[in-house]
Amino acid sequence: MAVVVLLKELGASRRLATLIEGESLLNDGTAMVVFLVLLDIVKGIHLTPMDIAVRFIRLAFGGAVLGILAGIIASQILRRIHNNFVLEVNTTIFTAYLVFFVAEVTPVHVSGIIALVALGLYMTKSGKTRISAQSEHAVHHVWSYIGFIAETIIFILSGLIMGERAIMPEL
Amino acid sequence: MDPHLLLMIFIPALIFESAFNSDWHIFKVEFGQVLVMAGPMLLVCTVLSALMMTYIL
Repeated sequence: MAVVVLLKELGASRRLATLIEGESLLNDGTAMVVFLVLLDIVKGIHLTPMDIAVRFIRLAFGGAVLGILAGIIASQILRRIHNNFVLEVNTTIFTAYLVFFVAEVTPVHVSGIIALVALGLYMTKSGKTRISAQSEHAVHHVWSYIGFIAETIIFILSGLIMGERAIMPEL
Repeated sequence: MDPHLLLMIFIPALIFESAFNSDWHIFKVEFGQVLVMAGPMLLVCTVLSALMMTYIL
């Protein structure tokens, strides 16, 4: 997101900005899947190339299917809500966290990040038009704020952790 | 602090916000390139980083 803001300020085309943003989104998902598969190999769990391929396809495509299903349900819920921005904002936040929880923690076990990307893209494609006109701005402002605060806290925390390791490596 | 807790709190906010704010019509045009870069090219990148960490650093 930080890169995209910079690109917009520098006057790059929207196509380039979307390309980089989309790549960074899917990149997170595939990197996480690759990391989990490699972690299993490092732990000494024996995996044949077939196992790895099956696991990769299950995590990636299962995630996409889960995200799109959740998107369909969420846009049906949004369609039934009229001009109540609290409920509409709540539906989007609740769906995002529920999808990640179902994908990562429950026995469904698919890639949560890819599910979120699929959900987010489905919501831009079909869900946005189901949000009532009066609430659309509210939904966008709340999500911009959530994104901003999450990004800020992540960078502060990673700075603190890295600083701590650099200054006091014995801890 | 449990690292999984951090993941559970921040990942949905960051990823969904980013996907929700993108433009679907432009994204659709770029989707092929995005898939190539996020899939095979990511694997190439992983292998190259691993090679660098083992043989150069």
